[in-house]
Amino acid sequence: MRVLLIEDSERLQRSVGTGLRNAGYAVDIVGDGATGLWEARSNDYDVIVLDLMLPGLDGLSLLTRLRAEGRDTHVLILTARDQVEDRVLGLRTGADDYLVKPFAFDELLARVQALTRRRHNVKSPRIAIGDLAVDTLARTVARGDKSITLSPREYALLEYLALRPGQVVSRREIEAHIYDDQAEPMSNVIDAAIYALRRKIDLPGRAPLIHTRRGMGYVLQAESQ
Amino acid sequence: MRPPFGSRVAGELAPRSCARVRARFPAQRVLASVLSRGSIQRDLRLRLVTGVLALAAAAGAGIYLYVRVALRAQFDAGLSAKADVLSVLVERRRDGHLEFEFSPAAMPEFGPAGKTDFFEIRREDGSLFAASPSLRGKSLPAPKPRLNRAFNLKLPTGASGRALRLRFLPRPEVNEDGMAPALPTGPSMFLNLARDRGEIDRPLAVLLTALLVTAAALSLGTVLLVTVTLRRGLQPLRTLAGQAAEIDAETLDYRFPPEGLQEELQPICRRLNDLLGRLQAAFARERRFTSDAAHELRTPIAELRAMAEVALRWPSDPKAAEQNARDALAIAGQMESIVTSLLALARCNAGTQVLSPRPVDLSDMVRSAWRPLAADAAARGLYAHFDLPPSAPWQADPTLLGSILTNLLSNSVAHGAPDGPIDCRVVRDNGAFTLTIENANASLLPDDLPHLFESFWRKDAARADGRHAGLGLTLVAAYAQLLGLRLAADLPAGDRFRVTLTLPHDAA
Repeated sequence: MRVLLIEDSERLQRSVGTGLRNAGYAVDIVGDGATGLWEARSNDYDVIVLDLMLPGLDGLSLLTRLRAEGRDTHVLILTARDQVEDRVLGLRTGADDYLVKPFAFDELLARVQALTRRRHNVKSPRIAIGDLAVDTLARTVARGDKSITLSPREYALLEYLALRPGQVVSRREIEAHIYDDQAEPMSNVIDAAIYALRRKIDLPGRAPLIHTRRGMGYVLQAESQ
Repeated sequence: MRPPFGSRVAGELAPRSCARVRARFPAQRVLASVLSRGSIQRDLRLRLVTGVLALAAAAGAGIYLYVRVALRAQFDAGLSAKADVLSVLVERRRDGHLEFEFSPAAMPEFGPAGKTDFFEIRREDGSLFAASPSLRGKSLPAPKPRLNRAFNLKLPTGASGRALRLRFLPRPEVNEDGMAPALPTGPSMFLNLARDRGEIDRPLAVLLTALLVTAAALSLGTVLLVTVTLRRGLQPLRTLAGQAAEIDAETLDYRFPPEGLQEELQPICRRLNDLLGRLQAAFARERRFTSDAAHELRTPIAELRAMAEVALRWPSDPKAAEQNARDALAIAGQMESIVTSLLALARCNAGTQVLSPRPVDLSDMVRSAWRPLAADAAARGLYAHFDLPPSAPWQADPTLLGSILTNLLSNSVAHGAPDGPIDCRVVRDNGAFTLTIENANASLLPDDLPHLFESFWRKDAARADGRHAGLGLTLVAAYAQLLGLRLAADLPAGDRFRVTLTLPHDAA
């Protein structure tokens, strides 16, 4: 899952960025409105965390332009403005959520996760595909009664596929959502990651869940579907 | 016991509103004190009753005196006419003998049954010649007033009377041919004529009673009228007081409706509304300041909290821990700076900032204020260009003046356009000094100048580095006011920004 953090405080960039990355998100960070708008236009983010008081272009103007261009990326406003009218204005401008500073990081993370799920029309934090269970809150994976340990990136890849069960997901989409600007995926890194994930998920003696659609991408679904 | 009638308006209103209002707002206090200081009704009633009584007394006295004079004149004229008639009745015969042709039947008032009219005729030597039967042998008191002038006296009956003393020559006997001699001759005689004064005293007594009753009725009427009129007239004030009692900090946008108020109350209403306006503005300013201050502290707290939570959840490598510690220290420094500035401002506003004026040298102070900023300035390609007199002696609190200079210079370093000089000039003029700090303007517009010294104002609402909370120039303005300095900012050439500090001559 890929998140854009637009925040002018370097310290908040560091801690929120670290926290979200540790939680398995690919995070791009910018410190001003104009760059933020450019990034938001250039990439398909699952969630944008947006500060309102930004140098250059302010957060509300950025959001207005984004929505005017028809982009419906989920936006969470993270600001020190706590008045009811500020929240109302933020939400009416097109934000999906509003969190006032100072905030609990757990709450920010939970809201980002909720927005991510909403994007993929999944309400429950637990996703089941066949006998594969993905708990997006606890970030645990189990096949039947056997729990599976994944690296953060492997988990992110599986969660992304699991959020779109039965749909073909292209390599480009995976790249865009799993890797942030800091990572520079090699051309075959997606194939390698899928290979590694298959080895852990598609256990011997069980029906394979990750299928390759040649020339299109990958799909996560139970055999019967 | 019932309280006095008139004190009821004040009695009902003032204590209640006073007690509730005292701790609240000036508007209510003013109104309450207006209503409690003495009683308009009592005052007005006293004055009006006194005035009405005085007017009634004057008018009554005038009427009474006029009527008395008129009645007396009439009475005296009657007395005089009767005296003439009586004097004509005395005849001196040719033989010198005096004859008095009086008939009690013709003038029964003097007769034996008469109780109101009396006369006696005496000869020049004082011996009695004739007396009215009504005197019943008594004599009339005979003071010596002027002749032919009526005077008051006590009648033999004991009643009050009025008398006339007439000196006359008896009528000479008529000749046989019916002609009287040319002139009466012989010794003159005195006629004392007295009459009961009842016919003028009784109407006068009735008149006096009527006047007194009228005056009493007028007084009573005035009291009632004042009471009723004032009760109705003061109703709007009571309404105002009631409305004022409803106002608290949350309803300062309330305005007293001037419609339906008497002309005399309109100014009070306007003043109260003005006062409410000022209170509302002050409250709004206070709230905005508090909210701005809280807002200013939110970001560093958010940074600290997020940092701590992430660090606790994912304990990371020593390098990150070191970075966290550095960040925490910087955040603490930033919050300390905000709190220090806020406290300093609070001290200025509360008037508790202590001033210790000492002789200072302005030129030295400008140089030493610049020194710690030089490194930051160099990083932005800025340097100071001083145009300072060798010595600029002045008298001021060095801490406050130093803080002003540091804040102004650091403002230029942080917000001026990079690369170039910051001109610091001190000009001496007749013992007064003018300090100007001028630098290339990065982004300020003429519209920004009025906000420059407002608390928490920044050209760009977002803090790029978190070091400038927007309190520095506010503090400069507060300190300058304390030190009696004039502070002004302008854009002399559009692309230049200049702050001018004028240090008056007084203390040097």
